[in-house]
Amino acid sequence: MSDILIRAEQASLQLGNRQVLSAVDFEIIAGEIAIFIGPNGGGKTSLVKMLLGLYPATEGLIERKAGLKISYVPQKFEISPFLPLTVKRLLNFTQKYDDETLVEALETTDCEHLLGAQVKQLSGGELQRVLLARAMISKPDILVLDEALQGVDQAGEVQLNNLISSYSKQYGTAILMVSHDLHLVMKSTDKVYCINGHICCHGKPEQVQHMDEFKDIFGSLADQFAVYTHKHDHNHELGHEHDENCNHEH
Amino acid sequence: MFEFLDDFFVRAMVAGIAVALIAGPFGCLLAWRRMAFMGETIAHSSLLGVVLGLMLGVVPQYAILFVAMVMAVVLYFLDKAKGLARDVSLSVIAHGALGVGLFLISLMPEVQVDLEAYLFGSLFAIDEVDLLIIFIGGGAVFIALLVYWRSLVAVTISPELAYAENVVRPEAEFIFTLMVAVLVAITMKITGLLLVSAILIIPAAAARFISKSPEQMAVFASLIGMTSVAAGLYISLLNDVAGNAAIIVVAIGLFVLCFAGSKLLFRNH
Repeated sequence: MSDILIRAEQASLQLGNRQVLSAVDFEIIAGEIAIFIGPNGGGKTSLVKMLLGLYPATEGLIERKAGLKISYVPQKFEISPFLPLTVKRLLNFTQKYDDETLVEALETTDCEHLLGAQVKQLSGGELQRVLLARAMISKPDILVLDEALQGVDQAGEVQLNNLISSYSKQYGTAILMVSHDLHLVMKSTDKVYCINGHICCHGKPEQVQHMDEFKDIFGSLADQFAVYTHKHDHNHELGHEHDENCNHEH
Repeated sequence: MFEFLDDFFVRAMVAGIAVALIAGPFGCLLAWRRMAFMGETIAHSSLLGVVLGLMLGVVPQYAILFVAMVMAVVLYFLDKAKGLARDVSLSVIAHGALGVGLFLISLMPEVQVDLEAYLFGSLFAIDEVDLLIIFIGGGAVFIALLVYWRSLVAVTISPELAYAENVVRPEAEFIFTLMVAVLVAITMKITGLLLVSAILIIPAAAARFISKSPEQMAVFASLIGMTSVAAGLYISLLNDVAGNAAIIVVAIGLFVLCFAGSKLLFRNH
């Protein structure tokens, strides 16, 4: 299938002496929204890095579509305290854009006033907004967001989640998100992957919540998830009529 | 046509300014990446180059250049292997290389090696070979710097983003390592191995106070370095003091000036 963007086949990853991931099978197709959830140290970030080629797979196969345009918001972004860098230069660092494009991009995440600011002086939430704007500006085939909304206030989180899903719909961009927070699972998520050293289970959000592997990992948290998905189903019913698979319209 | 280079002072000035011009941006890259000690490590290995030159009967400058590049390649692969912490491995290699170099030299009592010239440089004894290495080596490094600048800055800002989004030329980091080696080998002559880091890092550190972007900082570092060389050499000519020491003293003076100036001008930031 030609619209598979990134594919892993029986991919394993060992870092030092530690077996981080075993026999991962994964694929993401154009326009799809996938989310990785799982406990700390379960290997979500490592899997992302392996899919991006930052960590070579110890065993198995990782394939990325030729010429694939990737934008990435890493889990940790710390610039050297010795490096003077404005937000404008940060937005330009992989590709150059005119000021108008930059301001437009920053407006989508409500931080256009930061264009001339020094990156070092941004708050955690401001930095994440800037990084998200930077990731979207190049209209990539796939947007990889590793805990991209950490440090953003709750209202902002909801707003930016909506932004991400509408961006995906508008441009047909695939989204790969990592979260340890079940609440972040968006109403438009196509696939959820539970990761704890391997892919424990995966499927549509409403399928995954009933799987035993999911309940084993998340215990009581799984109930919250159920409530959350139930709530959004309910919201859908309040609106106009949808069929059961409305989440999958592209 | 190059008669003006017959004068030792002019040769020192030309060589010093050329080195300071290139050292500026490299000092910035090393400082941003917390690799300030890398230049010093390569410099410490230069005595091994001297020994190698003596054993093979090669002009010492070429042997030093060769050993510096070998050391840089070793450091590059050590860093990739991530065995020891970077500062620990650099320290082991730097002092190990210096110790082995001194040991081997003392095993050869029949040769007279002017250790002081290697430790503190011999700015006023720059000969044609030095100038040739500075212009060819330095020129190559400068061109490579312009070609790879965006890649190198991208990796400096965020290696993860740069590699994930595929904006790095794959050979950039390896070339950078070699460039540092060549730069250190030519800087050695001017500052000596003990003060290589001074000309690399002090101008960059001074420029940090007054810069808003990576490119601005690189240019300011070059300007501060070149000013230090020019002023330092004149001071040494007028007062008969060691040239390299005078250069460093001026650089430190400019560092303090930039620091104080930034505090006064940008107080409300």
